[in-house]
Amino acid sequence: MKAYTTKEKIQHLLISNAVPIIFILMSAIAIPLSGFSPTYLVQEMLIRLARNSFLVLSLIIPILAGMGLNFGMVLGAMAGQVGLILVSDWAVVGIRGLLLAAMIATPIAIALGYVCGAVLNRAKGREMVTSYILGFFVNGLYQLAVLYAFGKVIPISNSELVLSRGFGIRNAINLAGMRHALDYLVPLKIGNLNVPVGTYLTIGLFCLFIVWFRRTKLGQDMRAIGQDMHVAGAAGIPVEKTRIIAIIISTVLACYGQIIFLQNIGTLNTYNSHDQAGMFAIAALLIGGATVSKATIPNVFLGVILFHMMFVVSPMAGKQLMGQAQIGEYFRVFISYGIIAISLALHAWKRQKDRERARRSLRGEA
Amino acid sequence: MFNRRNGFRVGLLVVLVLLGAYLFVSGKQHQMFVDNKEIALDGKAYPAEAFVRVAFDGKEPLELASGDRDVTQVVGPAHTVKIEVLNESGDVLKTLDGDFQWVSTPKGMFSVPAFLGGAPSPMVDSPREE
Repeated sequence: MKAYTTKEKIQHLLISNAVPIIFILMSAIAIPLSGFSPTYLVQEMLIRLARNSFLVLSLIIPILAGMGLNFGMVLGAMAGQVGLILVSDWAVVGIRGLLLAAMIATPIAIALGYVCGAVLNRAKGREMVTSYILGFFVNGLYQLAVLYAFGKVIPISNSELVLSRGFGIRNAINLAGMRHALDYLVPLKIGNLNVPVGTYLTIGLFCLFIVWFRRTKLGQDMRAIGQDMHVAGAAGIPVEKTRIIAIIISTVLACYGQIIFLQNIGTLNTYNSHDQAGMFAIAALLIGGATVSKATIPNVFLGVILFHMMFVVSPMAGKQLMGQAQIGEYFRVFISYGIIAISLALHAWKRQKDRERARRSLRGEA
Repeated sequence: MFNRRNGFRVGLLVVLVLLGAYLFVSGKQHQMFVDNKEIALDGKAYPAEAFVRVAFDGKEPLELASGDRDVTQVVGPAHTVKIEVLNESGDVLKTLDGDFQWVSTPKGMFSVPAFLGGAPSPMVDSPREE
């Protein structure tokens, strides 16, 4: 077996971690330019890490099952929002309101996850684009339900939630009664920093769940399917059922992630909050060094920190450099979403190369 | 077919429904009027105090003069209340702690005189039904 030289090892390390390294360098340049104090940046990162990590973590299980990045996580986000709308109408507040919203949303998320999984089983190899378009389709159903069914079919008694015509939900819902209900469930202040301990404990439990889940029979089945679906099928693993379970778990977790996200924000934008949930979570995961076929828990945390660091500092850095905050923001958007495109293209290229290599090895030396 | 697995599922469903009901009842926020007007209940009159400071569930207190009415939010069915009776210069003359139960929206007004006078329940008819 060939032993790698130090140079080759460094080269491999740099290539395999190119995306996080680029973002770390960009942050290193942008942070001093922005002029923000370290305390402010640490507080922002603490809040944003708590706000987004759960959503990003929900993407790991479908990747384990070889289904790529689950753009269909917006289905779960929509289910979570339905739960929050109903709980807001019933005026159930605090952590109990969040738990009740999660309980109401769970069966909706399971049903949507099942549909999504069944559709993706009919589109093997094209899961990402299929789930992306499925997200648009279900978004249409969600908008129909929220615009017409709520207040007509589903009774809504709180006049603050209903449009003036008597049915349909208003564009923005104030979640004041639930704001930070999980974040500051266990209050902790270190100096000037407020630490959302409740959310971190929840995220910690979720990480333990992922670690445990990977070791279970189901987790091992998913890993086997992720490596080679046909071999796994031949070995007696129920491929389609396992893939559906992976998507259901991801959708339910995305539903909880969206509830955690919105309790942190404190306002539910009825028609738009879920729109960017998938894109932001996927961008953060890829920036953390994950690929379409491999994602780990450290990728999630590194990605969320780097992605949101750029969110915070780039407008100010742009203003300092060019005199306009918008330039920095455009730059951030361009880089962040460019990363998704590059990652997807690299994945397709790598798969093609792997196939060619496999064909060559079957043919043997010429 | 009712086997052990289905029994477990039904049991889980029942637990979840009960948990949902508990969360609904214990997390429900109520709008409650707080009234410091003289009131007659079951033929007995309860006079209003000149100045009172009322705090529900350890939260920010409300200050009411005789004849005043205010509104606050309470969460869940069981509450604690601390009432301080004040004189005109703001000195505390008497403090009374206690607890009470939320009854229903039509009975959504807390009567300070009824509580201070030891009425069976301080919750009286609300001036406005939600």
